Amino acid sequence: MTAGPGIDGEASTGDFGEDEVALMGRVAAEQMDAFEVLYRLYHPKLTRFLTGMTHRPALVEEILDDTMLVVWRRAHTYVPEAKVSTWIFGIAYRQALKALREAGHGAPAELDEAPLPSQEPAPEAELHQRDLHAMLDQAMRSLSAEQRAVIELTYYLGYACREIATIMDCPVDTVKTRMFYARRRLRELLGANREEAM
Amino acid sequence: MKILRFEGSAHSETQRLLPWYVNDTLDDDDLARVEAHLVECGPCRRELEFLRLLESVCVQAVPAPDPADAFARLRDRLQPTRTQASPSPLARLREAWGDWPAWLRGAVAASFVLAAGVWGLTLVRDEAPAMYRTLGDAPPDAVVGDADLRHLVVVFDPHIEHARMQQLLRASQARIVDGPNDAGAYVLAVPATREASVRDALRAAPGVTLVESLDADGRRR
Repeated sequence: MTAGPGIDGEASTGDFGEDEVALMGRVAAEQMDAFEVLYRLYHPKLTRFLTGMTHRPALVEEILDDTMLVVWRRAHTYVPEAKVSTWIFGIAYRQALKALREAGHGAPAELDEAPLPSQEPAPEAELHQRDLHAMLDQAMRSLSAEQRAVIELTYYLGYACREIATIMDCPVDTVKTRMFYARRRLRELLGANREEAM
Repeated sequence: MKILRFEGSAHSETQRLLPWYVNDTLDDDDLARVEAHLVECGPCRRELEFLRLLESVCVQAVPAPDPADAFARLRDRLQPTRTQASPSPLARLREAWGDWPAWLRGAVAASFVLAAGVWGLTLVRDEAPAMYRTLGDAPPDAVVGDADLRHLVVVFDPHIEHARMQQLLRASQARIVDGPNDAGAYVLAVPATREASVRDALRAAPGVTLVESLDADGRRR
């Protein structure tokens, strides 16, 4: 049932064959080759997470670079009690919120900026999975960045609720509440007819 | 945002847990609770289908730029910060240490021990009781008596931030048992089983100039 690439590969860097905690130790020792390995390992996951969270493709590259810059400079503050991925995604989350604030995108995107597909009822037979995907993807734009972050961390990265609370530096109930409102909002936007079709 | 409390009926419990039932991260108790409720609750089963659809949207990949180009750009941003402060003579010495032939390293180490010993004698003669310890001094008796501990002499870079030093000590699970002396040297106590790994980690850490093990007699090994 696990979605996306998940975080099961935390202990090892896969093809790079090195434990992530050990890799962080080498980054803390300012070894550039280790930092490059870490960067390549996290680049695709961070790109996906930041794209999903911000829905601002133009900002993603800058946020990703800022995130990895912090990782490089603050690697010595990483403590192995936490997962490396949790630590890095926590930095990415905060950098994304900061970038959105500075860009004036703190509030959820307006729906008229990315209009939803027509809400007119459609015959169920015509409501293909692809349409649902497109509608959901559009509806995600109406959520707050925090709500989208919870969804991305849950379904793309496969984190448990408690780990998401650590990344977002908030109580577990806040994570559940964000997810609850996000689900309710998405259902509203998709409309009762489509909900029945599901 | 009003924070919702989710305690209560099996239905509301299941509703709150369903997102993480879908991504398979519930613990065994929650998993059993959700599965039992799903059998008897149609609305929760419909919500489950909705969440699975949401999951299927989220796992779709997005095009990512080439990490090689992106990393090259980032590395360019890192370079100036690395060249702003030229390494101290001690840091340069430490960097070059590994490249020296064994006989040269031995000669330098012997000179260092001799110099430290002379310095220690000076302190004993001029400033009794000494407030400092030489690198060759044995750690305090109370510490030496503990067979499960080993001792390391560590010299930090004089410019190291206090927070950074504390972080290194915490990460090493090391305890300062003596120091600093004039040269900024501390004696650390570490569990015997971790001596080698702590020593290697400290040697690799930026901000640490020198790390040596002490034997039971307080001599460097």
